[in-house]
Amino acid sequence: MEAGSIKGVSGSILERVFSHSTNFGCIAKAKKGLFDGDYVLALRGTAKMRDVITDLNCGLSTCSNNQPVHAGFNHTFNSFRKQLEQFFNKRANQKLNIHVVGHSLGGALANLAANWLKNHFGANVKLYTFGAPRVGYHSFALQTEAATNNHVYRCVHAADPVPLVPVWPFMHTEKEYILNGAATITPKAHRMTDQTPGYLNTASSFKSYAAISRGMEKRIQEEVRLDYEKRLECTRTSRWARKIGAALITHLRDTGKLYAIQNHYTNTLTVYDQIAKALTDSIDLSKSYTSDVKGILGYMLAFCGYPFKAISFTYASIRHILKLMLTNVFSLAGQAIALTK
Amino acid sequence: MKTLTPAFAADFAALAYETLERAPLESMEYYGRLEHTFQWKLVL
Repeated sequence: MEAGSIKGVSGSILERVFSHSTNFGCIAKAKKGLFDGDYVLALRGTAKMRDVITDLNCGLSTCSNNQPVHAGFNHTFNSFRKQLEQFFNKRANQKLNIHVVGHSLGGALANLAANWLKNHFGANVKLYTFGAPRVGYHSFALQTEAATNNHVYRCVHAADPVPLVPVWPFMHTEKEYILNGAATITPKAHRMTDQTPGYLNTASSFKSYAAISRGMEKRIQEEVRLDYEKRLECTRTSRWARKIGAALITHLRDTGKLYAIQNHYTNTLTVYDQIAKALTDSIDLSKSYTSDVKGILGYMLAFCGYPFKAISFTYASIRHILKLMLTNVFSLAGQAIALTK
Repeated sequence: MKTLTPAFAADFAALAYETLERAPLESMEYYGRLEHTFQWKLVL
């Protein structure tokens, strides 16, 4: 498969990348100059992966650094890992500097690839993603930061729904570079090459990462309690999606369920079933817990456009509202990914 | 090891994402920028 630099389009490596006759991306090597000898691994998601990310019941599997990650992403990465291994095995006698890049689901694969390249080859790795979804739990995010020596350039548009999924307990690496701050969630914000905003367009307007506004995936969420009576303030923005998530985490921490849910991996009861059960169990434990749950559910309904829908505190009802919220966010992400095809 | 600028990283992400149907390859600005600095080694 290996070839030298391309001379034109026809019959070239790039033609195969562009024609989608191959699935995952390409590797380039820097000519003499600023990046002399560095490799770039550029990855893209595949159409099949749209179904993977929109699966609410995403399972977990163990990746190269022994951390739990999204099983669908890991499976996809493993399907081309052998090719990566063969390529870099031939160069394993030199110090490898590898920049790993990806947009959307390609960004998820880039996270896994960066970890694997570090673990398998001891390569120096830097990771760059645009509009990538979350890949694993907190422990995976920490390992990714360590594997890249904190060189993770996770770029987002605030209105892009894809970085919002999968929801907690999946977590991003901490630093976030916000290329465009418009907040109302819209699938169009996920596109790479459109002018408004378009990741290619917004990224090109910054000379360095230092010039870009920073956000953060908080390791320890601030305490957030939502007052049901104020739910009409909630709009469909990434800010409110995060705030509702933070309120949920606050409640689970208060009731002592947070650790158990985050560390109990099972494919028989989804993490979201466990959350619904935990919220149901909170009812009647105390007035303040009931009030917290009512606030969380009320804001979820408001986020989804049903602020006046009645709430009942049964497991079935709570599971329904949680699923409505998840379906809403995942649906936006699914639409966004569909737009990229 | 230097860091790719946001523009360079986005160029690569766009390259991996873009499809042939959108425009002839040679006319894409980012393709030109990348070809100047990198040579292609492998398709996955």
